[in-house]
Amino acid sequence: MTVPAEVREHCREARGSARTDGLVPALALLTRALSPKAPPRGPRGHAVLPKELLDEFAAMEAEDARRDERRDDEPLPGLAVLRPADPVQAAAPDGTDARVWGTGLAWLRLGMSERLREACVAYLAARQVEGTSLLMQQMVKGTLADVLIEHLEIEGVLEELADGPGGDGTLDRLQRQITRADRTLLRLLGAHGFTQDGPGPAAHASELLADVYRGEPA
Amino acid sequence: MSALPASLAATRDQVRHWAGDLRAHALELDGDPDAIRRHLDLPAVRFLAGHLVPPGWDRVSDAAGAGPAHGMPTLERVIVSEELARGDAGMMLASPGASMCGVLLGVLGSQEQRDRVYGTLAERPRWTCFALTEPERGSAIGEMTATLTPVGDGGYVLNGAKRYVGNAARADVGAVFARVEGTERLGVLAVLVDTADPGFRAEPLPTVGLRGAQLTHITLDAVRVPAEQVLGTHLPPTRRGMWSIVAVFNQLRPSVAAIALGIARAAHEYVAGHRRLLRGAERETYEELGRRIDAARLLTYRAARAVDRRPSAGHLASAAKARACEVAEDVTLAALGLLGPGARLDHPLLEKLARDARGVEFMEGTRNIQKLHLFQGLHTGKVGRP
Repeated sequence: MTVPAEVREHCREARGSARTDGLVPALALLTRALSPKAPPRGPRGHAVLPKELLDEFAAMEAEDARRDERRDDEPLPGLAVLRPADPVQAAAPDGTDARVWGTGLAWLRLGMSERLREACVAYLAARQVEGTSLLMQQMVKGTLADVLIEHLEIEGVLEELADGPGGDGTLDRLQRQITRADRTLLRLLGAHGFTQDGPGPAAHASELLADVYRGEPA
Repeated sequence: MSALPASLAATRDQVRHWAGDLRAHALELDGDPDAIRRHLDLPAVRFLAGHLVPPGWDRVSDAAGAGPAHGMPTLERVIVSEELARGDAGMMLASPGASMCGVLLGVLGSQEQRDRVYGTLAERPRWTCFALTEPERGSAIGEMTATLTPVGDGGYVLNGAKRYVGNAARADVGAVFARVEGTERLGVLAVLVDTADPGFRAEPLPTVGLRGAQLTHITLDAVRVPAEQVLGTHLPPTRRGMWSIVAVFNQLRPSVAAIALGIARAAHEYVAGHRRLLRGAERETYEELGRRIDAARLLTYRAARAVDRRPSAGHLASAAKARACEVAEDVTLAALGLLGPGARLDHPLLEKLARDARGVEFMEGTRNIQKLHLFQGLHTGKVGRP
């Protein structure tokens, strides 16, 4: 599959937006670009999308027989979750090209992981232990370098994906790789990465995106 | 030796039956950390409320749940912790009782101090808290800025701030670590404080997981610490400071490892209950996860036995804590993977376990802290030699 040039551009924009603006603005950008007429659904009918798009899609889906079970889920401020009330009916995906969407999502999550890495560097640089910045501890340097290797490798694979076939579980593998990198970074943040006012909830929402849109087990 | 003594196996079997009660309320507590107050009559919660009473203390009753019956505190705590965390780690950590304060009292408390605290806890379900970590400084003893200022009669005035302290907003008794004004960097003492003191303020810090534990930020503004609330004054000076803090952590780390194992087991068993037909690579993944949990448990038991034999022997405890937390994260993530796309939305209990698994990482030292401790043991020949 050759990904059209405009899709590649949308992917790059999503990554950049995730990195500078955060998950919800980046997801709004990607959704409007790649799935402008209906919420992008995962293989089992779930969707995660910015709340600002909910009403727009609700109006467009008036004729859609499928109804979502509404709950008060808010994995992140400004983010909404759609769950199919009838999973059997929801099993048939809508018109969104799942692979294109999955590729865009991987770029977006890479941007979020890079954003987390930058937050980590800033946080650790400001923390002191025995008169030295935590960032300058050798273990911390090594861990950040490991994450950077992951990010660079993921970027390289995604670039290649945009040019050729890859329906062999590559996207799911990349998503797991991004999750592992995020978890490594969160550990460096200590309990700060676990509180609601730290970067933990955004990382959790990023994991949720990977979960909802990943492929069915082989 | 890996087999448990019959008495401990009996404890495990008894406690195992209570896990279901905790799980039944896991999601309720996740949504409302105060929900624990509605479940104080559950056997597991009652057990925890009186569980860490040291041997020799006259228990309230001989009924199941009234306290430990065996003289192996760390190993017993490990066994109980894994079983109850398998029910729900949030419910377990939200329960009233001596908890980490009990371990601290076991190392540093005089008989009078233990009698006073346990007497208070015996009256009705009451919470305690254990305040070590500080904002922007973590748990490094040398960086601690909470200060005890002597007032001349053996007592102190306590000022400073603590962060990421579980249960502090509902605790009656707090154990606080602080530096004595005018002493060198490692001149740290542990004291008991009355949380009703007007200078003690605890505000909840919402978290991604383990919400039942209700982490808090504590402000200490001229909190009075009478002389009888200072821990360790009956001990020789060499046993009061760092030695005692290290001993407490050595005893606590295997328990945290056990909580991580409980979370991992809960996730593993959840998969078995919801995916009966695992085949091929999925079956292999599932079985390998089970083997990793079992191996980490053996390491945790070894760590507990080592600490029970010698309180300063904490290197295995660090290894167990680091490994068990890794296993908990890996198993919960893999379990979600085995349940297919959208598992986080369709299986809220499993989703909660994945969030909880992240939380144990930060209790009693992160993985990097454990690794540094292990390296010290390796470098000094205290661990890793036959």
